[in-house]
Amino acid sequence: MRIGIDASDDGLRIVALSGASIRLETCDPHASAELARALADGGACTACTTPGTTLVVPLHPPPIPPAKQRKILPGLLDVQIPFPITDCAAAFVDVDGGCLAYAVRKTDLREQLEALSACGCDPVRVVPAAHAAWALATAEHPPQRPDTPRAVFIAGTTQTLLLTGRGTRMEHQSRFKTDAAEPLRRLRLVFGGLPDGLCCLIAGPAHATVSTALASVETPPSTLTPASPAFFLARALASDAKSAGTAANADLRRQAFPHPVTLRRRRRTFVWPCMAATVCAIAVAATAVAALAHARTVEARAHDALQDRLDTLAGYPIRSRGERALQDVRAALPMNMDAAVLQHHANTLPRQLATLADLCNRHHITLRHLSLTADGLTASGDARTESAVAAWVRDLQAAGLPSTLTEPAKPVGTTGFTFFILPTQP
Amino acid sequence: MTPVPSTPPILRWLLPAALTLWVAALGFAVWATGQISDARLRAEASRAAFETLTPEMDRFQAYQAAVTAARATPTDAPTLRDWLQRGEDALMPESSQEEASARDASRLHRRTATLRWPRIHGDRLRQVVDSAEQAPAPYRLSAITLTPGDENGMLQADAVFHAFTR
Repeated sequence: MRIGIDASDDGLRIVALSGASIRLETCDPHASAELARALADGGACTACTTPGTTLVVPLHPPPIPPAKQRKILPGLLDVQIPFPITDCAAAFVDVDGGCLAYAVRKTDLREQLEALSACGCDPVRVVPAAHAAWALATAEHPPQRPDTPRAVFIAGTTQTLLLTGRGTRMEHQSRFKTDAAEPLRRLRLVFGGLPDGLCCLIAGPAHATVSTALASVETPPSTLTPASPAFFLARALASDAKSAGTAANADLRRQAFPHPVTLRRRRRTFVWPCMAATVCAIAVAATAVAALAHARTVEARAHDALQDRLDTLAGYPIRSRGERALQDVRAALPMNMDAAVLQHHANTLPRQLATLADLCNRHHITLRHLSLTADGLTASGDARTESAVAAWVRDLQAAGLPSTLTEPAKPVGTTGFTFFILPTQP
Repeated sequence: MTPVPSTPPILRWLLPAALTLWVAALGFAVWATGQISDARLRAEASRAAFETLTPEMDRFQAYQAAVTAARATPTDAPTLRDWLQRGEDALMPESSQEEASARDASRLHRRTATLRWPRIHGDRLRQVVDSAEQAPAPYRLSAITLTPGDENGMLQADAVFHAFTR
């Protein structure tokens, strides 16, 4: 439901629209409890500024991109109004070939809001009466041609608002005392006479006065009277609610005195992205914390395993780090292990004896003496050839008994060679 | 009616707070990425050092297994001479000497048996070595000196056996 509140004349005129159909027309803001609540909440209400306080200024910005145009419009308006733009609430509406600026002093707007508040109304939007009335007039009675001269009278009991323009474009707004002599004079003043094809829409509670005045000339202009003319402006305001959020929005209250509903909407549009950003930031931080914790756990496990191995091998806690720790462990390891136990565990001598016997048979070596310990083999013996001794020594080396001839094998008579070997010193 | 500020108070601090949080979270994430990279490098270095000690660890575990087995040996196990006496007379040495000593590193006791045979056949000597291994405290050959005799297969042998007990 959209509600229009016309407070431009004596008392209030209220229209409630449901879709495109009129749901309620009344002058009593307390006609129903539902209406009173809706007016007090104001979230669906649109009111108008007092016509006498609102300036309508056509602007002609240079042909620059729309975003830049929006930035210079306040400056263009500032030089065309008699008070600083900082003291005004302004709205800019695109029209064919230019821009129409509406401005009202903030003090006037505040008084208007206070007056409405005294009547139990807190409208979320306050738009210029001229803007809403012209928009509804062109929507309900579209002009025949784009340059058709057009006038809209909103005739109040004391003051009449006259809007003039061509086609859909409003060009001028004037206000005068409601009087039978004034309408024609004002039209002639604006258009420089009564132009051919002039179409006048006459609304407001005193529409009959204006209609009579316009019919009194020899060739009267064509006139239109909308349905329920006294509530035309309220209906226009209710219809104008559709322009909220569009380029045709002429809301003057939004920036200067934002309604709680506007604040809530604005807060929502800010709060949700901020909350989303916060949640994302927390998620990013939590992920980073989890990844860091996991990496540190893996590192700690690897370090603990290494430290455990270092301490175990060394037999005491290793304090050094890195390569130095490995050196310390390798230095400490022999002291932590009893070599005799290892030798006993390996039990290599019986196998080495067997290997030695095999190699002696293979190379036809006859031993005269042997001594085999963990340190190696000491032996003396005879061989048929010197090369057999060398081959035997090589095979001993390959079998894990590194031995060295003390001197070259000596020939003994004509039948063989004698030799003596000692363990190879590492 | 008093003018209401066009920007609600909540928005004045919420947006900077959210942005600050974002920047802080991103900064923390960048810092954490560096820390994670460093932690991975340190973990890799620890693993590499751990692996380089594997041969030493294998030796140490074998040593510990040997020590554990020795600790299971009863302290009142028979000497090698007593053990050989339970077998054939031909295996008995002409002389034998056995002594025990404590080992600091392993905290075990080592028995050293020195046996001498002026004449023994090689096959008999192998039986002695095998029999010594079967003793309750296994005696294993630690050093041996052999001098072939005149007759075929006969040797003069001096052998040292070791056994470990608790």
